Amino acid sequence: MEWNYCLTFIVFLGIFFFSSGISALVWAVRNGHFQKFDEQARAIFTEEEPEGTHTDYFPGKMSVNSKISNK
Amino acid sequence: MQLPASSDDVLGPLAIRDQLSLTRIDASLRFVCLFFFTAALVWLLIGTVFALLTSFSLHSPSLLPCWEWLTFGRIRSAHLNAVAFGWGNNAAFAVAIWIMARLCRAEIRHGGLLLIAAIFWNIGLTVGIFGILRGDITSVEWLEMPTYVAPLLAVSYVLIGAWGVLAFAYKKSEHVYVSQWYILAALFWFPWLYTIVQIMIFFEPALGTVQAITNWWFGHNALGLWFTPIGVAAAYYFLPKVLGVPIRSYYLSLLGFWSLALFYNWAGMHHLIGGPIPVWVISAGTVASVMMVIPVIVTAINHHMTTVGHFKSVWQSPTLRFVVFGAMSYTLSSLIGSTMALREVSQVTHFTHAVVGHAHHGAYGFFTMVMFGSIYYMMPRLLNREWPSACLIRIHFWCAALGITLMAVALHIGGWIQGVEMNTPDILFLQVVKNTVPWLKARSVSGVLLASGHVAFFVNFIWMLCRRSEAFAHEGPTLIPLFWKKEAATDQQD
Amino acid sequence: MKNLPLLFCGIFFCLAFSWTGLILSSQLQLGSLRPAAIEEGELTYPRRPTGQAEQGKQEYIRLGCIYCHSQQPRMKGFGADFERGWGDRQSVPRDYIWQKRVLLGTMRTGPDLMNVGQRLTSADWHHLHLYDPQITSPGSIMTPFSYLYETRRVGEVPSADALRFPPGYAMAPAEGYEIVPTDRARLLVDYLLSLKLDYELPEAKFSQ
Repeated sequence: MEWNYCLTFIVFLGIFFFSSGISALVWAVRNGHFQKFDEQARAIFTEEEPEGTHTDYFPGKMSVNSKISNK
Repeated sequence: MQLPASSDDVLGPLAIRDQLSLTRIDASLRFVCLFFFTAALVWLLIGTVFALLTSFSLHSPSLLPCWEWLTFGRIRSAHLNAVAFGWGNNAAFAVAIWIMARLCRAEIRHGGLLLIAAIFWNIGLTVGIFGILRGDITSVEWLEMPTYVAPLLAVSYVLIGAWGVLAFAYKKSEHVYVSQWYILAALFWFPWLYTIVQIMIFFEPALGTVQAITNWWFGHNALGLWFTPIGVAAAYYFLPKVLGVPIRSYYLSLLGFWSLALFYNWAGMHHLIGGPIPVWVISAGTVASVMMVIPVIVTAINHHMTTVGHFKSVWQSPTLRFVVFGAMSYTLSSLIGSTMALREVSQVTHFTHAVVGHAHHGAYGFFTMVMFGSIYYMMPRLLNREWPSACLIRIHFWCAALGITLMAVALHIGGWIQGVEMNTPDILFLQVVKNTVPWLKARSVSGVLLASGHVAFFVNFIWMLCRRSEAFAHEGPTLIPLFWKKEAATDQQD
Repeated sequence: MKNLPLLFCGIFFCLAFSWTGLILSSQLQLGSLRPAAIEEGELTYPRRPTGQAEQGKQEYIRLGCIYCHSQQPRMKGFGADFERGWGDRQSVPRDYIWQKRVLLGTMRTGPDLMNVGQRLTSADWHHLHLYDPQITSPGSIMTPFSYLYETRRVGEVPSADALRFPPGYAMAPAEGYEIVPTDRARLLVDYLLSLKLDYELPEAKFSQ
């Protein structure tokens, strides 16, 4: 009897968590959190450490990529 | 040769108003990060000494003098706490806050308070580890430090974490990057975990084996919800950053984050398979452990696809050598971990050295290697100085990579044999124990390798700290931003 | 995904979810466990530990024994715990209800100790083993705990609990001296001898 009570409790809790997760996702989509989503991957680059520049290497081992962008 | 003073005179028209230059953000974190790193390295060396003592005393029990504070259980716990909460936490704090501040484009203000919190964290840790050695050890795995330091540790952690959270709350960047989610989550998770567990095990102990469930909920989550997110965040930052290419799929990283957040929480119960707890708890743990394959594979694919075509660059970068080694270990050790969580496999590996090997594979092969890589990248930017010796970096890498590989292989194989023999009742238990000794000796050899790497790293680190700033080399071992070099070159011409 | 409150909710829910699911639920299920008897009117088990055993347990904790010894025999057929005599049945949650600090342990560098009091009943054996494991278990990798023993001059009558070393033991004390356990060693052995899985519970009968 008591075990059934626990199980019901867990199931309802599970439903609650699951539905709040889904509604959060829906909310985020509606509010434009996923617009230009892939662009955010470029947030790590700045003018100081720009995209296309290899920024860390052993001496004399500068890669071809970074030499090009260095010109 | 000075550090560029502010964004305006450096970035010129390109500068985005309000967004600070990275150099200025780095400068605002200089003292705090240097303190964290120095503390981390000192703890790493202390932890290594305890590790060697522990490892040697396990296969040669009469090697150490028979003093109470050198008892196996105590030095082993001193080792764990020194490397996890001394080395791991100090390094993770610095890396997390530095990455967070950079991605938020926000300076860290009132760094003095952060420094004080950092000092208190280390004081708490010192007292805690002395407590372990003098016999106030709690004998609760991952929570060995005596209860009298727990409040101090919890409060200093919250204060340190608050800076990361505040940086995020007042961010000046338009975008949010995946590393920020991981760091934010980790900074929230750990203090909650720690506080709940302290209450449920020590201050208001739960009944019987509920304590064990709580214990492993924490023990596994300390790795899964604190060290792992910080390690993954650092890998997500440094990998594309150093290569100069954005991460392959941003959607995959989102999937990876939320599936980790959802599943890792539940996975700790696989430490109690066959134990005196309800079977459904164990099943939940096993299911979650297997589901962990999703975030792990997703992250692995994303990292791999980002790196494709740049393998040479990875090898040429001190940072990426370590970070990529770490990311690969993460994939491998997590997949092994998911396998070990299956009932049939756990029947053999549970209670054996394979678990110890697995823990080191994750905590060292993954997390520690990523932290080493991060430190190699951050230090030149914090100090505006090159690493003094490329040779020492190479020694460090090879000692660490070979050492942890040897340890993982020896302990997994040795542990498996131990488990199979232990489950064969015809073999005397004492014989099982004797058969583990060669593998434990191999572990000691790997420990010596790792220790040599740590010494090389420490020497390089101290040498770099003590160097005068004129030691700014144009072709140093590691590169500080090209941009700074150009500035320096212009300065010289003037 | 850049909204702090939203992220915070997600982060919080993930942890709260597992805490509720694993810990709160277990507490609800197990929290009301009380000692039980096989049949109405019989003695209830598990027994309450004695004061000495409790004090000895503190020594067990202080010395970190848990890092090599578990206290959780698995069921017959899952591992060889039953065959090795580590327990005639698997241990169940009810076995631990009197324990303020549960010491399940997750390492078996040494054997499981849940039933050691029934397996090795001699206090002398335990004292010799703690003083120098090589005496009783040659080749063992347990570290000696000789600091729990003191060497002293033999009084008018030799102490009753002085360690009786096997003949030819190289490290035996000099003539006129004896090695006796300190109180801590006595308490620790009391605790070890108190570890017995010699009773049945309604949910856990002895395996055949």
